[in-house]
Amino acid sequence: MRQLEDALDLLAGQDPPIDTTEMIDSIEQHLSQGGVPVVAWNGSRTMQIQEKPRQITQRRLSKSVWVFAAALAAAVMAIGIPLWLLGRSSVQDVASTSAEVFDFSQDSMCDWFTAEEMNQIVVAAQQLVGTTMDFGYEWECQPESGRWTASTSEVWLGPLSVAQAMSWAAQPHTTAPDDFVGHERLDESVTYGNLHGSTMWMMEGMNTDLRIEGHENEVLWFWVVADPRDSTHPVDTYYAPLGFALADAMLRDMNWVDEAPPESGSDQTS
Amino acid sequence: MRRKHPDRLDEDERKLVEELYPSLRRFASAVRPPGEDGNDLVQDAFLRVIRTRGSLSGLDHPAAYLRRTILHLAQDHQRSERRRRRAWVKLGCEQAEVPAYSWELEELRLVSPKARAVLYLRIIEGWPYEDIARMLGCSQTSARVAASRGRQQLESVLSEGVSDATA
Repeated sequence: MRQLEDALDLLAGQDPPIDTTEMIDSIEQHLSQGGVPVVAWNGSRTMQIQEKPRQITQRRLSKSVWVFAAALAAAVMAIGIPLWLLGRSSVQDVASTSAEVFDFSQDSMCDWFTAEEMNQIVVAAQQLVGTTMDFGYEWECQPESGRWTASTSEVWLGPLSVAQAMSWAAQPHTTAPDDFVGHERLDESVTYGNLHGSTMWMMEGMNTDLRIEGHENEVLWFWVVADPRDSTHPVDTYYAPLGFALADAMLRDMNWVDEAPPESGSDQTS
Repeated sequence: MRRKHPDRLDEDERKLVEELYPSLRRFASAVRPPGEDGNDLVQDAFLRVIRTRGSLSGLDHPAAYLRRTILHLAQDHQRSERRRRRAWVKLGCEQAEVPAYSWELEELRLVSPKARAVLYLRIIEGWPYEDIARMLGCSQTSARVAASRGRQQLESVLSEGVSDATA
């Protein structure tokens, strides 16, 4: 515990403080100037112009650094622009090819989908399954695995329901391959039924694991807190179809093609 | 249409910046991705709030609102960095230099900004989960899950660091 506290304290102290007058001056300067226009990438995958303030730490660089940077930029432009014009046709060829395909060897689903896009996919999947049940999903990216997980609010279990959940979790359900129409190779396992616990609390949940032939690790993974006692949304007839619908929507967005499986050696999803 | 915002801070807002800056800087440093600076995140958060709300003074809970804004900015920066690196690889360029913490903090960036935010507020500042959830705009369950996962990851990283050092 002490070590954890020290590490967090070290993180919090890594950027030296600046004078608050300098901070206030910088804020006012940006307010009067309106910021520096830059081209940025937004969630809908289109380019847009937005204002981004110049960073206060950048302002503190010495003037000589900026003079050097300007001279360097001029030199780069003098050499780089002709080279860029020469090579431009090949860049355009790449840009005009078909839609971008998710590459499991280097892409992360956290980057591919925004939380808002995940919400839209859930809404669409729920409509397909025939419900509009609002779980209040809170999407969270797991940077180490590149996956999105969804958790829901306020599912707390007493001793009795823990026993129920353990019984439920002890019998993981697997769906029939035929259920996933349109993605025949995603056929090995869609399992659901899991108990997530920690020293602080216990909650029940659902794992939806989708595996594909030739892939050691699962292709898609969801973890959704669920309540197996909910008779309105029975596990067998609700969560598996929901998992399929979610995966189907995500795979379509990833431009997944069943006929072109990834190389087994490129599996980086673990 | 862009809302007209003032060019200068009034006296109350100046006092608020002076009062909140120290704790916001530490929070921003704890949650920021590699390559960013906590001071920049704090400045951007102040600017964003003023530009969207018109003023700092009108907020009911300015510290909580600014913390949440800082966390969102940190998550945006982290996400942009990943996209940039992916684009570099796809364009066939050499891998862009990956910004990093100082060597002893290198591995801590594997923990998500949200998890670091929850752990910092819980362990360093001592807030209850109910307040942390309100500050970060999530449920208590979500805050607890983030804390649990973050704690496991951090402890794993720290224990590996200790074993490496003693090997």
